[in-house]
Amino acid sequence: MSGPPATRPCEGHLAELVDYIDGDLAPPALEALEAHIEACTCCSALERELRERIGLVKQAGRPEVPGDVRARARARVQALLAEARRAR
Amino acid sequence: MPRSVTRRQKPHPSSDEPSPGSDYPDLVKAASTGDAAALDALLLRAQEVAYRFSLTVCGHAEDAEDVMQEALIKTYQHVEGIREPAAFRGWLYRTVKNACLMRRRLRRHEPRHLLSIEDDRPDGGGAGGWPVADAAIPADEALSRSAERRRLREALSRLPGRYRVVVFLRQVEGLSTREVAGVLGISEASVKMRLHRAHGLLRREMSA
Repeated sequence: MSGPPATRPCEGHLAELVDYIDGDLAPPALEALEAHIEACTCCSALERELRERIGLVKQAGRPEVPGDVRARARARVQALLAEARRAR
Repeated sequence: MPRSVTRRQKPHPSSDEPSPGSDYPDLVKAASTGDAAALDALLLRAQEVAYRFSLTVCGHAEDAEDVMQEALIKTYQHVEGIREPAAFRGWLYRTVKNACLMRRRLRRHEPRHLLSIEDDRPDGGGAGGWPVADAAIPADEALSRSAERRRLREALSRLPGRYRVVVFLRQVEGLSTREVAGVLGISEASVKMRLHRAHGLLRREMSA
């Protein structure tokens, strides 16, 4: 993670920052938080930390389907489609 | 407004890309009118969602293929009669979640696993959770940030199941807060609360 973790006083903003990074924060809270981030190095660091972590979470949570599993799934799809064509 | 503030208005990096689910309505419309390629794409998509959900939220990699098959068959049966293509995505995740829960009920003799999705205790996922030692972890694990990524996966796996599922749906799969609420049958406020608590816990674990 870039830089040291933000210190405890900023943790009160954590919920707002998560909403902000997810695009779930609406005006006027959005503008107020952005102004605060501009002025507060601690919250600015926390925002960067959270943004980076959420990016890593996304990567960590999207394992590729293994080739053999994908092939079996593909075969199953093809079998179903063929069955449907025969039924028509 | 300062330039740096404008830059910050962008959502997190994952949202810079087109949402992986943004083309669902078009695919569903096409599939429901007999477009075989669209149906094929939709069925494969359903299976990928089922695979990720199984591994990440439910655990038990050995259940993943069963859940995938269940999602495949349900999608196949559902798609021709669908009236609201925009609602398909939420339906798919609910279907996958229910298929996971069904598999877990078959493991009644393993009580810890039953708790995974809705448990509020730390380590509620039991053996489930983020695939910390999965063969599919990319080769770049060997690079400088691999240790941090591993720690993060471990921290995600230790999250209570009810938090982990929200992180997965909202931030990995990119569902909106409203969609997540619909999939889980909870309020949008509860979705946000769980997400906030999840990040508080992750932060504490990663700073320890």
